[in-house]
Amino acid sequence: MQVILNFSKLLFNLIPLANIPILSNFAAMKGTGRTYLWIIGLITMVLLAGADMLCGGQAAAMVMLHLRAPRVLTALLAGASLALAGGQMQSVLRNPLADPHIMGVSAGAALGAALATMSGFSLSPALQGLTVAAAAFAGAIAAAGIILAASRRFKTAATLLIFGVMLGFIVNALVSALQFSSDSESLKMFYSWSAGSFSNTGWSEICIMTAVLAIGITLAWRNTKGLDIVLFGDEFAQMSGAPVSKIRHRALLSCSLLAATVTAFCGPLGFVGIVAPHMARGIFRTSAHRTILPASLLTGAVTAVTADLISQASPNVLPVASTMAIVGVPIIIYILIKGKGYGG
Amino acid sequence: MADRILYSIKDMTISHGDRVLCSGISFDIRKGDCIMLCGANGSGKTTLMKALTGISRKGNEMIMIPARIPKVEGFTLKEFVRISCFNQSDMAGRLSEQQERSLDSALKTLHLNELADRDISTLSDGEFQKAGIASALVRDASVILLDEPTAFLDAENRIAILRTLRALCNNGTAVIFSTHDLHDGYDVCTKVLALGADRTFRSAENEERKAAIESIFFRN
Repeated sequence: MQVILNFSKLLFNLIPLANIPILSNFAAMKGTGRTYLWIIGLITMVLLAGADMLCGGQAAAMVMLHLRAPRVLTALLAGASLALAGGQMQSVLRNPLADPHIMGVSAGAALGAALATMSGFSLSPALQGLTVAAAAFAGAIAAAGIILAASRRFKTAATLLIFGVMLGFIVNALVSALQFSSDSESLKMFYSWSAGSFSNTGWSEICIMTAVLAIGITLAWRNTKGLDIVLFGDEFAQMSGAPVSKIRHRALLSCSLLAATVTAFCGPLGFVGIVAPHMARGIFRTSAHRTILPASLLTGAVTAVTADLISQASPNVLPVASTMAIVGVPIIIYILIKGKGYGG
Repeated sequence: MADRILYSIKDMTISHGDRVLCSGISFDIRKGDCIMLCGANGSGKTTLMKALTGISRKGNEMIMIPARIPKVEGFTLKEFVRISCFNQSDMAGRLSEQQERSLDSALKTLHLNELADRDISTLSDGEFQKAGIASALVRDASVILLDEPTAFLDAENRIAILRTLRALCNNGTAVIFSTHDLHDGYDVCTKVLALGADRTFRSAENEERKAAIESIFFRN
């Protein structure tokens, strides 16, 4: 156990340092180097997922199949989905710190979950998890819908970003107000959702997440050259004949679906959405979406499974949202200091 | 032959909302014209150019290059030009073989071929300005509109860009550029469009260019 943990820690340490020596030499050899990077990334992901599976020692096949495998798969899917959402959002808003979490989508989901847990309806325990997930999904979609509608009104990406952050503030205020007037029982239920977890999903939820990820990837894939051109500013994109608002809507739609689904099942998880696309850009040394969107899927999955591994391996199991922050924040600060990303 | 008229503008009025910026704008754009557009800040230079792109026709495309394009890190010069060819490329952003050839020849014309694989964030402002011109060439522009192409350049690059523009005109492309560098612009242009602060418009060619500029800017 200890060996596995140390090994995965070592691997994890390598990720943010990918800018330096060996890996960047591979990246410098365009084309061929990228293949090596993909192989290294996939091996890292499989090893980490394996380590995550084995976390907690030997177990019966039943435990593996019904508890651990769904958890690890959920982590991989959630990380990949959030990374894809964040990558698209960073580009259409031209902001290195944009992700669905900051744009109020998670706050919307939290409001939905809060209403479900604290509205006073007594639910049978069997239905509780599902109701919370459904309410969170509805809340996230509502918030995303407001942002989508607003994006038609706002001409510039900057005002849309401010709008999203403000929306998040208002919704969070509502959640706080609800919490303030709730009893301890429902507070605890709400808290267990908002702490974030990859363990509350079964195979059917995994199927839903996979389907949504497939839709998100399809939308993003049809939008890659549009996402490339909007990085150069709305004015330049328009003058080059690109349908800027269509590109923006398509990206926001993809982001909303991905973020809402993940948040409903796993709770509000920030950081992956911000960090993973930056890791992809740093490792693959490009901003071209045809490369960094697929690469973000990989870095997102690796980040999420690492966070899950740490929460599972710690003496007292930690909430994933916390480990995600502990994993994510140093990487964000590293990115900021290195000055990578858009808009200088 | 050199007199082939691409566009003929007759009595055009440009406005910003309800405010009329300039009226009575009439001039011809011919093949090989090198047109300097001058006027004070807010006189409507950019608005006029944007209005012109609105009447752009297929086959004789007018393509505008904005004043300041952000140099986004993580794209090579060639990738940037491909991205800017949004309507010419396929869904994956690839150009046809023929377009790739015209991309290579555009880079050669502008002396950018050695920088083709450099990250655009490492290019100088002058070099990046030329990348914008390259993208207009690949898109088969008959008229290239440049909004203050020299505004952020030092004297050396300013002259280099203006000479590049003149060379394009000698090859038959029409160029319209707006500028505040009346001296440098005057040397390369064949025609002057001047937008006065009092909404007056003057256009002049050859020897009359100087008089037109003076009548707009130095009346007292």
